[in-house]
Amino acid sequence: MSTLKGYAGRVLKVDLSNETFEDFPWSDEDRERTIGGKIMAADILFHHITPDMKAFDEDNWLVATTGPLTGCGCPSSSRFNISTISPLTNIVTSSNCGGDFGLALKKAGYDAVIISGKAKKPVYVEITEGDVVFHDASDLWGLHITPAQDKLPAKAGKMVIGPAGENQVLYAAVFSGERAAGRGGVGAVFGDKNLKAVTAAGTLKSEVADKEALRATNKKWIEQIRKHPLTGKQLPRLGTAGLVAPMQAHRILATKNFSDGRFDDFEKVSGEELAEKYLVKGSGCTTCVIQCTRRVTVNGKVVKGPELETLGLLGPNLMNSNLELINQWNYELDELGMDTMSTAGTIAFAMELNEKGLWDNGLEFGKFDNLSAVFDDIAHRRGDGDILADGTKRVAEKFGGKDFAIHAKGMELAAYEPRGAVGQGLGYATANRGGCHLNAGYLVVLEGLGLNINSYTPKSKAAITIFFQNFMETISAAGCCLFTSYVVMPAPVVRKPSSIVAKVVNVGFIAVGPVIALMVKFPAIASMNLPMIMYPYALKHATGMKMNIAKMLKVGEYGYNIERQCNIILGQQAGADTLPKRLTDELQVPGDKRTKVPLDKMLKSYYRIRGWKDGMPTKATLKKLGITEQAEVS
Amino acid sequence: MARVTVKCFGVLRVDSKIDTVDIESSNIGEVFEKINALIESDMTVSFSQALTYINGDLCTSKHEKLHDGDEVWVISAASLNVKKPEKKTP
Repeated sequence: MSTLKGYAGRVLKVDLSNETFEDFPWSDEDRERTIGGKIMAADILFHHITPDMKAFDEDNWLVATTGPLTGCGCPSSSRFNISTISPLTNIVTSSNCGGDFGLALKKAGYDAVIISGKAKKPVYVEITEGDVVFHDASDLWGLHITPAQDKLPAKAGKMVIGPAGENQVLYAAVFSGERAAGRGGVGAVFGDKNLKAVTAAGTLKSEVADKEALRATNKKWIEQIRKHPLTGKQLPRLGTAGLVAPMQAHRILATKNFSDGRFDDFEKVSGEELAEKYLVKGSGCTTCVIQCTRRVTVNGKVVKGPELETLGLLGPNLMNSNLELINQWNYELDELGMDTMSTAGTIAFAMELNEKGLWDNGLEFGKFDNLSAVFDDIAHRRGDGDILADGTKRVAEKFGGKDFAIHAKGMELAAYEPRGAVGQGLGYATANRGGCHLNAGYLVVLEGLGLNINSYTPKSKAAITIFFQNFMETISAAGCCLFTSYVVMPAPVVRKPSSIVAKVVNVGFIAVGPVIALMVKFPAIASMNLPMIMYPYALKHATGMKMNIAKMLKVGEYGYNIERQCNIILGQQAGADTLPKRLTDELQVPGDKRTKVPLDKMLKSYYRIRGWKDGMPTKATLKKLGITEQAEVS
Repeated sequence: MARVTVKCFGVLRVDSKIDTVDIESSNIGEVFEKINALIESDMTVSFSQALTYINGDLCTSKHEKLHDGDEVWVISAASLNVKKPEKKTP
């Protein structure tokens, strides 16, 4: 049991092969080092994986983790994480979800559940206080996400897969309610293990270290989120889709398989159009005060609407301006249990292959009469769907087109065209799980979607990227939604983006790059707390740990490095931090030399500041962070 | 005076219901004056509260001249909570 508060204090390990369960040792020292969430999961995997291990091996573990703030009344803190070896990338993926499973798992008395082995026939696992029951899931197998969840205990928190996971589509998702742990194919690993669902239920409450102080912190924090123009106004009113117009303006709206950053019909797929014509109401994850989810009507039923990434990748990136179709496809993909982003990215690539005469597959930009059937074929691995189910990288290996196969480390990119925001490009290339916008450090928010720092200069981008990668790593580990970090952006600057103050801040951000680099290298410089950064206060009052910005940066650095070490054990080589040539060698705007990602230049600084060589942490860096070297592990 | 098309985005569009308008204006500053005149609620928008683009290029000054056929995008900040000043009663 833990002496630290905020945690349930136990980690459950379930073995599907033998239908047994036990407690997994996890100490307070482990909690201090990792906080929880994705860092905890990476640490657990680091001590388990071996160089020859693959995603679909019986020995591959699924590690579902919560954070100490999950269930502590903190705003937007219902997140949980699933990490495993990804079948899509063959490295570690961490997939985050706002569904109710994390809260329920803590109520059942566990901070995390490790799922090992492989069931002989379809099962669902029911976790309750002190007990685990393995149920036959034959009657659930084959069901879509909603009907499958409807057959599970109503009051339990759930993780469930659809047909895509059962058929091991390499980018199959896991769903919890309407929310997805979408990226990296965690659903396929569930499917390979014959695991249809996991439920958790209980009545336990996590104690916190200082109830009154945490309550006061949460009150202030909620007020801060509600008052900030992005989290209190923009996201609740327009959802993430409200970013379409600024993305168009900044030339970062991925269009026609990332061949452009602007889409002529962008207005038709904008957040404004969604709000005016399709929005039924806004909603959000449990405990969320932001409420960025859109609810729309599809076939007479009110369902979750598309997020920005889905909207961009099923819209402009396919040359589609029909928002009603996007709403429908989003629903269909969710029900099949597939990552909308990787599905859309793979289809865009297939469309370009067809256009270039490299693969006659019937898919064409701007023609969509057959896409619903294609989604179903992918989920059931029928016909060409079987090829598309393996993702962009493998399709390129089969048909060519590597230079315009838009992925990083095998994971399809999010909807931001990085030639209009080069820091985001660096983030995509270096993100441990592959082409992810969030794991990347999400610099695009500073490069045009919240602040407006120079989006074309490589200057200072390495330092800023690392800072945000590390910082966001810890926010995620704590159990919080990353959107809560928007409040760090000065509200007056966000409210008046063309004011003199905003211009000074935007220029200043780049100018202080060397200071940020120092802070990243020597986090102790940031041994302080600031009133607009509430995480350290909440973590301290919830857990009793000493916490400040420096410690958050240190934990985040540990997390980023240990996840990288996992990838290295799994075979990641020097040169893995890269982007397709379309983004690094071709100009987005002919004649404008700024409009490509100067990756090599930024990578050099990035590795220097991180203490890495060719993408690998050096011995000195590993020693500083207390991470055992790869050779010793293997 | 130039005849230009103005397209509004963000909270400005959702709250004011102004989507696309054709107006006559010689510079960007005037565009904002005319948009504010069209807004029926007590909300206003100023140049500093938005990112403004002329024919797809960022506009950095409200004195920027406009020409016939120009397309202006006004992408408002996330929040426009400035109210028109109330008229003082004598």
